[in-house]
Amino acid sequence: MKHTTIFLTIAAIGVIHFVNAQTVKRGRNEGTMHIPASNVMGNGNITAYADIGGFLSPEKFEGNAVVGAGIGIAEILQFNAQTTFINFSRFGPTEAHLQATLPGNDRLRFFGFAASGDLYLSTSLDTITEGADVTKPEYNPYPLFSAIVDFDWLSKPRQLPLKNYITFNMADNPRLLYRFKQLSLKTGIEWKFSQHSLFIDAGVAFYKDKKNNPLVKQKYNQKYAWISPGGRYRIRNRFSLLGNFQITVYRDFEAHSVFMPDIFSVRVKFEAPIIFRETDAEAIRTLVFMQKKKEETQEGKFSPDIEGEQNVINKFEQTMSDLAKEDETFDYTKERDNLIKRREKVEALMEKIEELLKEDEE
Amino acid sequence: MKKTISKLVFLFAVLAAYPQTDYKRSRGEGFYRCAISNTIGPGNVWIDFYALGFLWDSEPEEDNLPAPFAFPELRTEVGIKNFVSAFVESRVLSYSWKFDWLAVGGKFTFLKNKDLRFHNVGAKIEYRHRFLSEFHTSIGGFQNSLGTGFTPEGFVVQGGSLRFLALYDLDFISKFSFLPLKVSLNLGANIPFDKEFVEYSQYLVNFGVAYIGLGADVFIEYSLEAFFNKSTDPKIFSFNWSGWGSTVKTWEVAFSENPMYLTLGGRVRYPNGLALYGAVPLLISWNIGSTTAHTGTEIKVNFPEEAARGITDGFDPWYAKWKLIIALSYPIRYRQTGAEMRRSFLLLKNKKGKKKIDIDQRLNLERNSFEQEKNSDETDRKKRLERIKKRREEIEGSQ
Repeated sequence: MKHTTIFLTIAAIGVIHFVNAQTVKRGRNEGTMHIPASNVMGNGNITAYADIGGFLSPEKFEGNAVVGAGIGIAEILQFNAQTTFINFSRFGPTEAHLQATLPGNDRLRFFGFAASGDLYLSTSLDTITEGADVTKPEYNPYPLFSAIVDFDWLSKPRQLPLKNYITFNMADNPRLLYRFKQLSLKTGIEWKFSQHSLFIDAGVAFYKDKKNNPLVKQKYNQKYAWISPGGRYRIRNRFSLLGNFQITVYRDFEAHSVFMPDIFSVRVKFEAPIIFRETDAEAIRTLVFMQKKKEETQEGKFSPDIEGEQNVINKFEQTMSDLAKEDETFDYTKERDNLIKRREKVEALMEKIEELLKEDEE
Repeated sequence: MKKTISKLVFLFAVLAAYPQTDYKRSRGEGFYRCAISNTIGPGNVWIDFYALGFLWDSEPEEDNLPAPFAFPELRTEVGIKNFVSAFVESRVLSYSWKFDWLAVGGKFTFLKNKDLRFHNVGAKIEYRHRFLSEFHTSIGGFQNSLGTGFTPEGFVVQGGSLRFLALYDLDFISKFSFLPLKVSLNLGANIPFDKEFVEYSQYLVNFGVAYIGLGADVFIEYSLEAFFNKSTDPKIFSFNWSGWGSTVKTWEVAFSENPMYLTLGGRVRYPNGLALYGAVPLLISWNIGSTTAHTGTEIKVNFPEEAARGITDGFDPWYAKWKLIIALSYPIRYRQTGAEMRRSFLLLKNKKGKKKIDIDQRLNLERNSFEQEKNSDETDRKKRLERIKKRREEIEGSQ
């Protein structure tokens, strides 16, 4: 018994060290290029990022850069801010997002939900808002709201490394918030590998002009839809390089609208965790990936008839996997009840023996 | 006294056991404009670097993308006594890359501030001298050649001014340990030393609510800088703005046209003492009557009531609609104060334990449970045998 315990402990330490050595610094909030995950960054973690892109519209080609950073400020809260530089030089809109997710988020969960308060500080010259004109332009703030829902299929027994995302946003193009009311609906599918991932996003956006006659009831009658495949490539287990391209597949805008959506765009984003502490949720994901990898390797190497041999490491990993699946705890109450029942049975048997002895006596 | 000391010693012992959670929190840190009544603690020295940016009537370049106004500010505060602290604050670079203003002041609070207090009262007094003496950005040209007048950030005066605030705050955690909220109210005034501008004296109101966490705070704050006015009607000003065509302008400022901001912000602390701060003040002032676009005849035609009051020029709160403030704070010298030690303790006490997969514990418990079961079976078996033996002996004895 003692030897088994020592062996189990050594095996556990070994597995943990092996996991640590291989640990992928994966953020809990990693999503696709267009949609972040509903989960938030670990408390105290900081990630900085830079994003460059080329956008081709019917009128022009434009290049943009975005720099930003996110910080986990509580177990379920994350703050994120970014600024855009239009044509890599001029100051574009600044955004700040405070995202809150559902509690119980430090495990692999199938369903995730987050609500976000979004603040857009516009740098677009606004001369159409009441009180503003060409001689007195305004740069307004826009406090808006967005929501994210995702489904993590790795948490299910089949452990598919697939994630679905859906997000609703009240801003599609922050530079045009002064001019249009906007609604955007996006969805994405991501296939996660232990380090890298592939994803495809699609979305539809609806625009309502603010400048039109206020007496005429406006509708969100200008719209466009797009599709955008891409991927995440992780460098040195830590930094992420994301890339995607986007094609507009449908558009219905007024002929003389001030906004024409891009026909085609390409973006590359670099993410660098500055302060990183691994979360339980992502540690479990890593273990699941490792277990899968191990199983694949073993399938190729060994015949299934390793009878009687109990591979402790495998058992340990199974335990971890079970924990990841169910988030279970050892049921002491059940164990104690079983013991009591067994004792009761023995007591009953004892009484029978005593009765027999009494009968003998009589 | 002894009780307090022993309490603090106990708290120190508890917090020393959890050094990773022992954040260096300043006892006197406020929100944005809203100051907290307590001081930073004797001997403590904090240094803050602020960067403030906003957009306002910038010359549109190509594609209507203006250049922002951005100003760096420095602040340092020293705890002199437990109830007094002094500070120096400055906007080191301003319009035209010139030095803007320097402020020196102090904060005082009641003596019993070593432990957390529910009611807190204090005062803050500051002398601010504005060195920048040239015309720069102005609202509707209401600015003289020395830079006194209306700017995107409100009314500013060249030279010296005295600013004082009465501070009151409620620290809910001291009464309800599950409620780490602070509510703060400041009332005060800003009075220019230049007699010519004394009528531009303002009263100051700041009100804020903050959630003070172990490693992070978030807050929301309302701030107002309004001209003293004996009536509820708009206050009428008349001045010869020599920097604007040497003509006397008469205009009025309604209460809602004073700079009023709603600020959202937060702070994140790291165990080494560094604190990152961010705040976004959003303008909530609104216009009444004419605007800066209306002058002379337009006022007479479109706003006859204003013309009847002698108004020659319109005014509207064309201040910066939003500002972005980021800051870094670091304690040069820091000694934990009793109040913040207690706050950390209460926050830790109410912190929900993070659920962790403790592999060792799980393995040990499984093993212990099995051994316990085995041992208990063994004991039971022995007991049963003894009872049977005893019973048999009794039966045999009776025979």
